[in-house]
Amino acid sequence: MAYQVLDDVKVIEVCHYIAGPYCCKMFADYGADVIKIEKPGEGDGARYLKPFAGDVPHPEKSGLFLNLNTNKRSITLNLQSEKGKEIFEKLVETADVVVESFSPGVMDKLGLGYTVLEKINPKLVMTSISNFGQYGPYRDFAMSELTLNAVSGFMASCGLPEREPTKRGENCEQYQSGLTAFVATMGALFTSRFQGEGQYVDFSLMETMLGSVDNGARDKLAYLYSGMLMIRHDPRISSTTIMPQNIMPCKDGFVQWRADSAWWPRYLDMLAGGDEQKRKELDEQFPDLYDLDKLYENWAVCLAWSVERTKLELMAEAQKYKVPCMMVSSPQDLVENEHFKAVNYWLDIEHPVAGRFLYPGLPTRFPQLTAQANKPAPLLGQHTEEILNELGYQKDDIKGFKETGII
Amino acid sequence: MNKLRLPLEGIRIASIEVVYAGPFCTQMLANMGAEVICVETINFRPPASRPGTVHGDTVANPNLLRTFHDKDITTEGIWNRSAAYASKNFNKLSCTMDLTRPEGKDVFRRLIEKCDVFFENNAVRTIEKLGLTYDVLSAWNPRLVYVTAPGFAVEGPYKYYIGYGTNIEALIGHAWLRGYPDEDHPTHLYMDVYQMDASGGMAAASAILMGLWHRAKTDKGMLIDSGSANTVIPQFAEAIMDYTMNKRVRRTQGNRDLWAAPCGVYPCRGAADRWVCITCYNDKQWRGFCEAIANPDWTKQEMFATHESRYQHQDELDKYIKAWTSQHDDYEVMFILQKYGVPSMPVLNERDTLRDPQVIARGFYERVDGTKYNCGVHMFPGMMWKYSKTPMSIKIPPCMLGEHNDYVFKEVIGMTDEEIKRLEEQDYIIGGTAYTETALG
Repeated sequence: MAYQVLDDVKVIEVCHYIAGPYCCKMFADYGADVIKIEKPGEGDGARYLKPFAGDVPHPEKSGLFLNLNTNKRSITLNLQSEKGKEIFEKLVETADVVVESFSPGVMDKLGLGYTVLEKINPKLVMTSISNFGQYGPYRDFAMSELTLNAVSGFMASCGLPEREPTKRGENCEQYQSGLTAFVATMGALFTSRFQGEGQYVDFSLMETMLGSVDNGARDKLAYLYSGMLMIRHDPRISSTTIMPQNIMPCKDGFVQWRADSAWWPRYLDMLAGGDEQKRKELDEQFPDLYDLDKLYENWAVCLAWSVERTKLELMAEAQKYKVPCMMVSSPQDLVENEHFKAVNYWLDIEHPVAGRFLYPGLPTRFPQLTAQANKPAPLLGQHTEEILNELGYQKDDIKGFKETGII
Repeated sequence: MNKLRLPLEGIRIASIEVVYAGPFCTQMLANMGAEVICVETINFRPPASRPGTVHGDTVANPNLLRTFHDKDITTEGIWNRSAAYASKNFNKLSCTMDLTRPEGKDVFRRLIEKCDVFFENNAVRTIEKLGLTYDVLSAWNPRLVYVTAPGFAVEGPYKYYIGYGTNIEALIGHAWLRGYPDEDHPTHLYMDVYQMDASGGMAAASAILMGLWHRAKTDKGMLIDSGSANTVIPQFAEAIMDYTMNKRVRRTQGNRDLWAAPCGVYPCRGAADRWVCITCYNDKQWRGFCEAIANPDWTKQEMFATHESRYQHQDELDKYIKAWTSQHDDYEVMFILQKYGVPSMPVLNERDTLRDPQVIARGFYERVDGTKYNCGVHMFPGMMWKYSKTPMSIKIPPCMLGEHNDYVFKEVIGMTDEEIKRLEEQDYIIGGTAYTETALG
């Protein structure tokens, strides 16, 4: 394998479901050796989650799991057995990072907490990803994607005023937490590599949400500044400009508009389409971007223009005039989108059991480096023997481990 | 034991950052100890970055006005008093220069020579127009890590497309996948909080860290492309792979989930607009739920007997649960259910996050003294994770526009007083000529 940015980093992953594995996927996709420790016979719980290739539930066919575990190696290990612990400690000796996502206290109970591991490897970075952090009154509370949205402070402002608040789509906040945990862990890795000392990272999903950006962080401080809460409001009656700034229909779907004074003249140019007379009329009809009495009048002009165009045509034309308008895509539209195809965004990965299909690409790219890891997610325990060999265990040892349920 | 330095102490980052994603990115690195120098100009108008800087938008936009400490936006220094700005610009430094004229740009060149990283998240067209692309900057400083985070990538058909997070999220499918499942079309939805700025900012922060890691090994700088759309698509991997594997086009689940039942947001007793979320992923959590609410008869119905049948009968399930939650306070529901291991949390608003027992126990909010820019003393949303040996905190309040000009020009670049005076008189490092384009090109 050619050079990759993180190819000198070794990570031990003891994680399940989404956030922890996504954090370690970042390491693996950028070249780190990520050893995923799974429970013998069962593996990561994410192996049992939808969607399945061909809709057939199978531990090697979960699309969720396959995507989250590319470029990793899998070893099955019973961490409750003495031998299992010994093997884990051996792995830690040469590792740079351990990422775990057990409930708080589980690693300590296993005798594999940070105070033990740092004695084995003082340069070790250990990141514990938990729902609410390693201490505090909610320490042992359970969480779901929905309740993760609820504790953010911003879900309360999403949705319609007369209805219940709504979460963001799919499981995206667990992915965001995983990405954030990657940044937190990389930071600690700098201390380890350049100051020679590892440390412990107490990472909580709740705090990731509380500190997350966009209007969420703004609104928390805005409340402290002004005493006003952000409330759910209806875009039809809460527009601040007459230029549309929400989702509107077009010929074959919907588009998302965004308004700003800088874009207002361009928007009028776009509606006029090069007709100078029409442009003049628009100026006379709508002299003020903020004159909300003319909101529906302007929307009528806009809609008459947009229903004649498909979402793709509309977006291309808006962008020609430098108006920030984009189409509302379905997952199918996205996969078929010309831009992401042209930049080779999608990864085409063949998996021995699940088959071959497209995966989402990497968030960040290094145009000057050509190498890109493209290995499928490991089968359960696929690399157990290989990893044990690297630690110096012989064939007979491994046979014994298998018989006693250690691996 | 010697006291450890913060992870990125000694790293200097110059940043031309706009709106949310860019400032959020360097906020992470500033918290970790990097010296982040925001390069700004008073006539350049990055939308939503420093609301109130120029133009009359803020006056007419009550939504933005709400976010100011002092609502009189005609007063001096209003650009330092917006929560949109302050909430993601602490621990950083600010200097001003005119990048549109050669003399101002030369000051920037001298700054770049002293930096480890250059970061920007403008429209591609803006950076090209300013002449600050990678080939230019890497000639000035070959060891420079150059991270660009435009809307898309630095290549491809959409290279020059412009848009906020909201537009790009529509394009990558999030608008399609969120909202109410029973709304026949999404035009009524107003989702004021977007995912792309969070993912774009955080991914760009990871890009900078990886760039520095690469430089430490090779002693070479590099170009890193952290196009924001690419950073948020992976967060919807399940919907995408359901399509690439099974040709199924998913629609929004609303507040529900593909494998949980019940899974919903229920009204609570007390003041209006109090809600609690409840999720049961499996039989164990369902049994916990039943026990927690004292096993009423309705839970024993045939249609709620298995996980599958509960999933099939969620509407009926929700009616019963709603009747129960309506008799209780939202925190009360949380404590009752969590005792039995059921994921349940109130929908917290901004005020709730300040008084929540867990938030307080973790010391999430930090005190920031903003009296120097007339904002008084306030608690700010603080650090998202905790390092055991190099604790992070808010050490420097949000930087005022041009607050650190002296430090940057004298100590970083090494200018003399006379030189500074001359450049200031000609508006190269304070105001500059009007920049007519917005940051988004």
